Amino acid sequence: MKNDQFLKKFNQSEQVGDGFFQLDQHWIFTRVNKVLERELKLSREEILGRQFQEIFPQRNFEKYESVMVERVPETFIDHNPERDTWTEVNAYPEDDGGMAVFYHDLTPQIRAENKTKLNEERLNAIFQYSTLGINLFDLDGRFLDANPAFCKMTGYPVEDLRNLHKSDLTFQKDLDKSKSLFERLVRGELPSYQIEKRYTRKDGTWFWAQSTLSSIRNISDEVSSIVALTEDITDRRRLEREVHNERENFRNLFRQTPEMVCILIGPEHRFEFVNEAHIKALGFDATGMTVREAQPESVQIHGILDEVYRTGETALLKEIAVDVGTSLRYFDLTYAARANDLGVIDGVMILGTEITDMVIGRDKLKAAVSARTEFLSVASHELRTPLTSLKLQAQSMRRNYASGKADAFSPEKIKKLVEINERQIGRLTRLVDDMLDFSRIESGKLTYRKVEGDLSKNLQEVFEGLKEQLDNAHCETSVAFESNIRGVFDFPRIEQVLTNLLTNAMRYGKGRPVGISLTKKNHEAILRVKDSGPGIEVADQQKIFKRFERLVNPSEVSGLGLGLFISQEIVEAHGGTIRIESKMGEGSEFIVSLPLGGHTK
Amino acid sequence: MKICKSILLVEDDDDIREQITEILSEEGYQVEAAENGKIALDYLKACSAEHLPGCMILDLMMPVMTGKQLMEITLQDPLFKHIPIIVASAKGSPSEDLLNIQGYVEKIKKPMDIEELFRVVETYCGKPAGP
Repeated sequence: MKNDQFLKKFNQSEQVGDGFFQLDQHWIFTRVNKVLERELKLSREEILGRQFQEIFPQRNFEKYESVMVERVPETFIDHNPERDTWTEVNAYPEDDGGMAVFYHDLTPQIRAENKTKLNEERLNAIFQYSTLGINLFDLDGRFLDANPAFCKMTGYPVEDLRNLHKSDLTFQKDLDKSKSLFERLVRGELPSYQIEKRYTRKDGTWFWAQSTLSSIRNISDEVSSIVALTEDITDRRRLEREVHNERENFRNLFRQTPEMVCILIGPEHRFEFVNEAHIKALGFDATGMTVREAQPESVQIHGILDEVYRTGETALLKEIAVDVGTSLRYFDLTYAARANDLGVIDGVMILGTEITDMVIGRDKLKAAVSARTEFLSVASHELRTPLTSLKLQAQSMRRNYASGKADAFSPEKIKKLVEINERQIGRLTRLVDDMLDFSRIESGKLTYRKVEGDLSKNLQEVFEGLKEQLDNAHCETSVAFESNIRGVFDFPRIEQVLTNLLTNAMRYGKGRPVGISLTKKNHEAILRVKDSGPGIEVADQQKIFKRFERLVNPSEVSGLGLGLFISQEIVEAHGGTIRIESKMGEGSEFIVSLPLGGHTK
Repeated sequence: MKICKSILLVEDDDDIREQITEILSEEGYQVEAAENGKIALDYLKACSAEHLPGCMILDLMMPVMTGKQLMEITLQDPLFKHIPIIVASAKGSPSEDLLNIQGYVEKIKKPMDIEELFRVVETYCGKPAGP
């Protein structure tokens, strides 16, 4: 190197921060510049006169040696593995047999280069081996490149894809889905977007996929291409759909089942789901309310819910009465704790079976059984009374006969005995008839034999037959029978009705006047029997026609309590009606209307 | 011999009342008959202490005042509570009415035997003086 050349380079080197040193033929430092001093943290005096390898033990000695030996200038990269530094070295042989060396630190550039290379390798690995489909579009939406996963998904080799547009792989119906989004991406208005759509495979089949498209910008920050990451979500969608369907199926089942179903969430028991039956039972939709808001009165239920939520133990409750405002309804209730994915209780499910009908039915049945038992008890009492009379009579006669009491068999005595007998036997007969009628009505086997005849005459005879009893009961009678009312009736049954009404009038209005009338009005016979008894309250006036129904304590008045029930049955079987008009303290009037035509039931 | 006192018969059925009255009278008893509890009570109230009946034959199911109601009054009354009560009930089953009744000395069930009637009457009122 020429001296002036050298000097120029040397002066430059200090300015640009390049290092410089000069060695003689024995590898001894003869000159160094300030850069080298700074780098080595040694002064000029400490370096000069020392050996190259002493100062630079790590340097690539062979390269320097080759310059020293071959005597030709050389430029090479010297790597210091200990400090991982890179240096560009320019070595020149000198005339004195030594050499001059300029060097320049390349470490920042080399490190940056290596990093880029590594990133590229990594990206390439992702591109090649990802299970996500990755592809590049140009700004018109044409495929530039695609990874193996994308090719596998779509069935297109990458070379086919390079001739295709993104619309070629989009399912017909989904074409419009992303068009404007893609355009916005290209215009740089969007950094990326996500879309679920169907892709068409090469074989014409399709699959559901989720794609994320992002713009790629070049060095001058213009959108240059679009990258798309695509995941096949056909399975996921199917699974989601299955779960959804299953849930919907259950909810539909729950919605429509006659069982009451609801789900309560959280420690305050908020209704999350209620079905139709629950809405019906409560009278309103409680969704969103807490139990304490929806049913403030049901304190018992609050306690149970708290307990189930706390312990997780299922509770079963039988025949719980729920007041729904207008009436009581009964439920069998199951309370089961509901746990979330982590197994932590987050709510309570309630299943309720309404058993109101069953409870009411059972109570009715109980009442019916109890009424029947009462009836049997009353019937047995009623039967025992005439039996007592007859038995006393028979035993008394036997006794008198045995002791030869002649006066016990005088004609007057016998007459009296026969009268008692007839009366009590008549009473027995009526009781047995009533019981039999009742049994026939109950089983629907009461039959009627209707014939044409004179109702006036028949009922007049009934009255005549009862006249003596009415007199004995000190009932003054006023009778008004319109004559010659003819019609088609089961006469013994109609007679039974009048007998019943007159017996009642005597029984309840003893010692007071009884009025009887029979008139004809618009093809109907109207029979009226009016007593002067205590009367019947309006509220009780329909009750008296029911079986076993008596307003008076059964221990005070004899009879089976079936008279009006049977009478009503008979009248209705003739197409007629029976009703009562009564005022407290003014007596009662029973009014029977009978069509003359002879209705058939 | 026990001094024979009268018998108070309370029975609503006209025939039975007449029949028992006649049977007991023929046997030599003095019988007072009432057709319900109210009439019986009125009779007792009208009686002087020495003429109170020796026993009472009481039907339970009667109008106006039942046998049970009458007993509830007489058993509380210092004068009447010592009168032995013989309940004559036609109730077939051991019904509540009868189970709840207390304070009677004997119960005869209708239809009763005439001999049983004589036996209980004799137990509580003694033998009659004779017809």
